[in-house]
Amino acid sequence: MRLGTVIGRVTLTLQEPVYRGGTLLLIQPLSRSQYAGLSQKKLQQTSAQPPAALTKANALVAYDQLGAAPGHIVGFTEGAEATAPFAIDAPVDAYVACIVDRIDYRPPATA
Amino acid sequence: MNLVRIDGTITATACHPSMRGFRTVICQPIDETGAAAGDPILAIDTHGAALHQRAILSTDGSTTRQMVRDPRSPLRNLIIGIADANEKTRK
Repeated sequence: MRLGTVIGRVTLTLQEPVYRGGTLLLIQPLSRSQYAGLSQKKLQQTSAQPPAALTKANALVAYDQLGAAPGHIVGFTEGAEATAPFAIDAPVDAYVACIVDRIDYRPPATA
Repeated sequence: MNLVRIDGTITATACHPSMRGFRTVICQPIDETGAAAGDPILAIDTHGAALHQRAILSTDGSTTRQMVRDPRSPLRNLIIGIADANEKTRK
């Protein structure tokens, strides 16, 4: 699982039936420096200003059943595990597993 | 399996049911000298690894699904051991 900032939504008119009931979110993965900046802060505030800036890492689309919105920090899983929650085979590469309330990140001072 | 250093934890109220009751730790992948390599990743920890302890991270989803007792769990990363020492970093 990795963490990322929700930076947008994808809307589909025609879609796989298995997608119904969830949303597709655009997620920007967090870099190591952003973990430090978000540590011990109050997250879960949706706003036009996402808590973390864009990074060089590629944004990705993830399927969400929890109701995350732009500005949230979420944990997402990728690969085969992203399809595990579905009863039938689903064409999903990334799945939002949690909406993060709080990050407690304390790397050693020497590292 | 990767060698990681535990650099913190996260809390999440809204989560997949299979995550409830388990500790989710922030893992920093490290090389054999202990230097950080890459961005942090998250894992379920059933061993109670302490901050800055070195641990072994498994990325086997089927093991993790068995551990959380949910065949539909999206979780993949699991702390499967805590390292006492490794040769290159033994003081």
